[in-house]
Amino acid sequence: MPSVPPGNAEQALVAQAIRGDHTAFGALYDLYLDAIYGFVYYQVSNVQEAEDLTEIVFLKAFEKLPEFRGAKKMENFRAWLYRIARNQVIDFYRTRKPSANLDPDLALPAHDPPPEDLVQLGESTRDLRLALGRLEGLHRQVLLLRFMGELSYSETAAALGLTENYVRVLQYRALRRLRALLAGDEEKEP
Amino acid sequence: MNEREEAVRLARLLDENETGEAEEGFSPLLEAAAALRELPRPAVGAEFRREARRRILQQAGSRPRSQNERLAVLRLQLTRLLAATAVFAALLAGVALASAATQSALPGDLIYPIKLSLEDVQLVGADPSEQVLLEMRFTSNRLTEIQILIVQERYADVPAAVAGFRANVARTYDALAQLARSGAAATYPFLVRVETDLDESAAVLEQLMAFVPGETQRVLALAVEASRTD
Repeated sequence: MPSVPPGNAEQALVAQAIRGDHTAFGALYDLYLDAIYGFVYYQVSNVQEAEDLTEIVFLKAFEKLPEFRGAKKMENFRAWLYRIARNQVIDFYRTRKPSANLDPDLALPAHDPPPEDLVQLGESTRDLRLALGRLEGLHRQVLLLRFMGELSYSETAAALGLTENYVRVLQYRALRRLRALLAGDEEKEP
Repeated sequence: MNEREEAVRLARLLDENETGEAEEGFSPLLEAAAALRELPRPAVGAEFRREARRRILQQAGSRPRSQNERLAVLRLQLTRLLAATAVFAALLAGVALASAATQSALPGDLIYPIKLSLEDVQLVGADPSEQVLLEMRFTSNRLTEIQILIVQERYADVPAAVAGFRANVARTYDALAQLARSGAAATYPFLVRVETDLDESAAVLEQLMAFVPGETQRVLALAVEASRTD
């Protein structure tokens, strides 16, 4: 995976992409495909669905580039891209359960990853993967963004539409819940 | 500590890459965070990576400019025209001070050469990156002058204004080349800014062509050509 260029260079790519430069947008795709795919995959646990959703994320990103340019709060392209990805995952689950009158984040169900995902993993990694799948949606998203996506608190807050303080609280709760699941103590609630 | 204080403390420990040896209660949480960082990333299939890229760029290329893009361009043009109109109104009201009058001078005005000299003075002692920014600003001044001349229907002075605009575009590129030769690491972002500004200038000039006589249209076309970056 290509390394993410420092801030100015990425801004230059985004500026060119906004002007309709497809080469620049292709470069942004190359930079962020793996990260977005991983974020989506760990929420849907299905390769085909993750690929479809990831492709939609980038299509929508290109379509919405003029909005990104105008948005003063969402100045970080990476966080904005994750925001689109998150919304796509929520829409995906809403489509599957149209009658569910759920909070959009609770609409992301807990799920077990497919067996083929677990076969080649070590025991501790397998347990972690299972525990991650059993977290509620918002907790899982915070952990994926912070520890796999390596987003800062402000980027995570921007991606999820939350405050930085609340992201820290969610992170705390999510790690406590994860730890309880790993310890087999599912009675403990944060 | 309450939950919020614990959340803040945990965040600080994570930021400092602490193992939590000094604070037992946080060790399990820090271990869980470390394990998450090590979790294998799912691999993107090579065929999907390639084919999705092709499909996305193909679809992106076939889409007409979005409504938002068109509105953004029109807003920029309106802003420039309003700015030009505001300057024109100030001149009519006769309220400009001497320095402001110089700044508002247009090609064909007696004091216009003074305005250009004052711009040249600003370049003295400027480092290469400042020179690029200054030349960009002066190019923008030339564009504004063209707009004001058209608003005032001073079509006879437009050729001189366009010549000045083309000269400033050339000087901007010269300044960029100088910046690159100076070994500055940040030349590329300047190039992007210059080209963005020139693209916007081209759009403004093209719109102006609809409001001027045929001979002036031919002159403006030269300015549009100088603005083209593709």
